[in-house]
Amino acid sequence: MDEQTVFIIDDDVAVRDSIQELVESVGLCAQSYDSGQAFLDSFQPESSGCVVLDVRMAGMSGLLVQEKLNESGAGIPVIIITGHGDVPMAVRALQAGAVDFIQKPYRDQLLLDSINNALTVDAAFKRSHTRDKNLDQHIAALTKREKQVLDKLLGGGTSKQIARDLGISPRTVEAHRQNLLHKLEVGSVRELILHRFVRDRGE
Amino acid sequence: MERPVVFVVSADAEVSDSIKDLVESTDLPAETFISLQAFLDAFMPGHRGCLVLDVHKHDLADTEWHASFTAACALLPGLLITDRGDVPTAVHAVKAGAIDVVQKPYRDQNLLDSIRNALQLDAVAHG
Repeated sequence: MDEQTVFIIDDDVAVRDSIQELVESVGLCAQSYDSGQAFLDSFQPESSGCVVLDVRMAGMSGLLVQEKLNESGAGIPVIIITGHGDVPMAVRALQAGAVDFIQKPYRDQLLLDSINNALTVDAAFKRSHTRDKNLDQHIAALTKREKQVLDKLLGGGTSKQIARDLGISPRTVEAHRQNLLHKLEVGSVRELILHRFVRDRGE
Repeated sequence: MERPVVFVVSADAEVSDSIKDLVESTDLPAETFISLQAFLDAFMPGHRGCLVLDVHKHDLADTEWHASFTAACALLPGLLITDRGDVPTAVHAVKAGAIDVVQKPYRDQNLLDSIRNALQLDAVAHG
């Protein structure tokens, strides 16, 4: 998986530098931006890591950046920091999907804990996303017959039933089943069904 | 179907009674409990409504409170009442599952609006 980056967005250079220093001091990779627009212009949606975002900035507000990130479908976790936050703003930001909302001044360890938590969340999300993408690619690469057998297996068919439906022998069905499981890199049809179930529920 | 009930939890009887009066003045039924655990013990599956919970900083440090709170939020939409400006508590609460946070001192109408919103969420989820 790609190395994770902590993307720091704050129009106050002192704050930006201090967070960058903090992040790098624990061996993490950081990238800073002085505006939401600068960040959004260069951000790749598939990037791994997390975003640390100040709410009140002269240009685009942090909450608007968060909104635009959501719209782009990027799954990257967002931590909001602010010197001016209040309860309604915090509630709104969290309901909009922020993983944390931290008021300044904050203890460095608090921000680090929040960042580490966000990176863990992102890693899990990206892993599952990669698995899905790989699976889709593998399925596209199956032969026509293998896809037919797969569809029937997902529908719960037995080798005997599938053989009858497709007009081939049960042994041939078995051979196809072994091949396609091998190509899809799953151990069993049940594993595949479970995987799909989890993915569909997340949509 | 049973009418939805506003379940009010506060360690301070004055607080829960005053919220109960407010809710009942709008012709909604309300029940009060001295603690989250008391609410959970009394709750019957199938009851609909929402939870209004008066929370203090020290509650958040209590892991038992947390477990009760998570259990409660799984049953009904929960809204929390916190001290003004207590952002960390509010953040903690929303992350733990609260659907809204109301600050003290609150305007009665604000609390009622939040309660109405919570009841609507519950009705939609279980309608």
